[in-house]
Amino acid sequence: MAAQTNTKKQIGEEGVVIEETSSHPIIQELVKIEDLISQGSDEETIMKAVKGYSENLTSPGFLNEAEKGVVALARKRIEEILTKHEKVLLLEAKGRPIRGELVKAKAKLTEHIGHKEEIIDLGEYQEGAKKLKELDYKFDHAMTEDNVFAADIFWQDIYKLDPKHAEDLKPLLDDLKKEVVQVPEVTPSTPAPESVSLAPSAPEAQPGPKGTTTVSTTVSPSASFATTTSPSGMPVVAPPSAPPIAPVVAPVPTPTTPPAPSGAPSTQSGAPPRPREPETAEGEEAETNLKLSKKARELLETLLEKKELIRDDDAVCLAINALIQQSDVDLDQLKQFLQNTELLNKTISPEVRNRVKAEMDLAKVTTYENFKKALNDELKTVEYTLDSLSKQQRPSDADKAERKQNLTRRIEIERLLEHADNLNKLEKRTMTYESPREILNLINFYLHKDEPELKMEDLMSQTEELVEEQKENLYKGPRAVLNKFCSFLRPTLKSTLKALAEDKKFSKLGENAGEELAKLSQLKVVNDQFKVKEWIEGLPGDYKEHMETTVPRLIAYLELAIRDGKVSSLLQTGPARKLVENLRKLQREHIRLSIKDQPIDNQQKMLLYVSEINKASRKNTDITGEVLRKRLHLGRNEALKILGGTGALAGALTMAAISPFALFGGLSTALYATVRRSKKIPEKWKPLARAATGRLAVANGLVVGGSLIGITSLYLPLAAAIGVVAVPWLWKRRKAKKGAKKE
Amino acid sequence: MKNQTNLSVNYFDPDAYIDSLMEDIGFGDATEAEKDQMYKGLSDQITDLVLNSISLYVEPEQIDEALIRNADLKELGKFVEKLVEISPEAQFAIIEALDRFYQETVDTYEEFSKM
Repeated sequence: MAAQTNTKKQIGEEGVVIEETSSHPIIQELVKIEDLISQGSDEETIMKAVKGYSENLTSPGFLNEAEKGVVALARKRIEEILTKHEKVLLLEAKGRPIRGELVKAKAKLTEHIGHKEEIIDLGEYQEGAKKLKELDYKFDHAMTEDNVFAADIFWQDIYKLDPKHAEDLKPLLDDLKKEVVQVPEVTPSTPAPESVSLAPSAPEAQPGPKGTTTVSTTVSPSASFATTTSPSGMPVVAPPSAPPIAPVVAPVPTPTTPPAPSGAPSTQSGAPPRPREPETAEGEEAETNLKLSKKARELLETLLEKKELIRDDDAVCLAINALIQQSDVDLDQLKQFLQNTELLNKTISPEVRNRVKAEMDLAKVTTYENFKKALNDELKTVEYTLDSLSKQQRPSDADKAERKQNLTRRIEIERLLEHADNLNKLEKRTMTYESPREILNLINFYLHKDEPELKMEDLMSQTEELVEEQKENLYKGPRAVLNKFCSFLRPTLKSTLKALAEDKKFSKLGENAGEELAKLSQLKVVNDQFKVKEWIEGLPGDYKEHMETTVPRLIAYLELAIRDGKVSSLLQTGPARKLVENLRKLQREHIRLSIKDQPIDNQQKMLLYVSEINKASRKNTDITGEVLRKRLHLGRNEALKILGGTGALAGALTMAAISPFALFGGLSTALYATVRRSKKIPEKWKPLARAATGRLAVANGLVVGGSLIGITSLYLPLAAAIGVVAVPWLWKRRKAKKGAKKE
Repeated sequence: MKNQTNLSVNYFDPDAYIDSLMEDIGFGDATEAEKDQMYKGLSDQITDLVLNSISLYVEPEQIDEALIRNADLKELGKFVEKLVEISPEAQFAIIEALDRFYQETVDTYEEFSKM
């Protein structure tokens, strides 16, 4: 049998150890299964064998008898079966039970091997990226329905992308290894204090991983919630001079926040916070912290509408925790303050109340609940109308007017919903919040409300600082390592430019691309539009040609790097951003100059100008898409199929029909799968890596996705989105800023 | 002319923005066909500006939050809306970009008109 000789040969190649152990049932059964598959046996027979194997794995002692090396080998074999017979397995009945069972068996084996395998692997990885690539499993590049395969190719590509990677990888892997080695020491110690601090009344609902991107570490949530918090400096810094405290709620950029309240907020709350006497001795400080942290969590759980937003890896939640721990605040009073509906009461002006009442009478409803229902129904109608209107390529004046009317109504409804919601809260005397940030802002305000000289803006930036602080803590250690893994182009300006120099399509710069680009990366050039222009003029070749080829590519690459850098939250993206800004300015200036002298009237010139800048934008998107596809190491069509290839979408999607969400979803899935499969990342960090890759997919997907679905379907929701969402204070600020410039 | 904006300070109305801009660049009395063409061109550019601003300025945590709040990702518009909603950075970036674009377009028109 061809398959049999094949497998034997493979086993032989693995070396001496394997030959000795290959008679172990854990391997032998897999050989049998593979034979069954390659002989084309019916599904039932294969399923029976696979089920039997799976059951064996769960039977006590079975795995323990085998050496770790054998288990690892078995795991690898399953992987090979999955790859080699992938097409057969994909043809399986709905749900693909055999495949599923095999994957499960593999997971069991992986679990059994645990950290040990990873340490062994890491030891090997230190020899460099080249070695890594060899170790990677060879996956068929053929298109499959399953993103996992594409994802692995993608993972391999990470190492190809940056030639410096072999070098970069070394310290990184050292870190990784250290972290992994520390695991056995860290894990057992953490749960102990937690169990002490958990009172029986502790709420059961823990913010575990819900949804696709929620993250949790292997350490239990409440424990790490406490331990990751750093004792940072006291945030209480009174700004030098300022008018009395600004309205408390207005600047909080959240949807439930009603606009500009009146009245002095400093008098809104109850008594000032009374610092509590530390009740515990120094030795019990840690325990106190844990108790506080638990209380902070309880507080959040009472106040937050969406419990899943309380996360122990979220900088905002951590900042709340830290703030409470540092400030000796009386939590009961704080809670009272935060639940105080009076605050809300003051934000709803009589006009608003009258307005809501009038609308309620109009809708013939008496309760806020029913009113909200009615409003939501109306909103649907309005959105439907807007949707059908937006499908028209060239709206007539009547259409525009109707659209405008509907748009205004939409904004009105959203506001009314918000007011109704607030009034409902008031009536029921329950105060809830939509995001932790909102709560954080209010807590910070509460802590500082007795300082007469406090400006709201300073308070806001203080809150931001708190969050930043926590972010830094989060990004130290394992997260930093992971983020490095997840940023494919190193998002510093220099290395981005270096990577760019190696792009063949960028060869207009000639052989000296690297040197030329290095010149550009100097800060004094980056910050000066004229110096950037000088640089382009100084390049070998035609200025015009560079404006049309080099510059667009430069912009696209830099923006990709900024997104990567942003997402990995590690490196400064400021210089790159400045450079992009200058390059874009030059690009538009070039377009302007090329049109200026044409023998057409001004209106024609303007039309040409707008169409040219649109062309430049499209080009930018095209390049971005191209690079993203290149990262996936696939051709355009294949990439699209994979991107849209989650489950039923596969194959059915054409370029024209692809939805940006298939793109988001698919790309994220591909990236998640990559992380899930990767042996290079210790199990406990995988959720973090998954989050980072997901964000990357979304940030880049926004740009590429937008271009895919075209303007008409996007413009309206977008415009309405900023319309409703960009809260009034922001627009007022803008007006103030504009006014200041003019006068 | 350009120093006075007739735009609302309470919310962003894309139509008002484009209409105002078109008036400022001499399209107030253009033919319908020309107006349509310009309208489409400008709205294309605005979409690009908005999406690009968001993608460059949104914070990673905010993407997470948006994904949690709108995890099924049914519509791009809705998702972007959520994203913008929770990201003051993106809001600033969008508004800055829109203002800059307005100014630049008007400047361009004036430069063309000088000749």
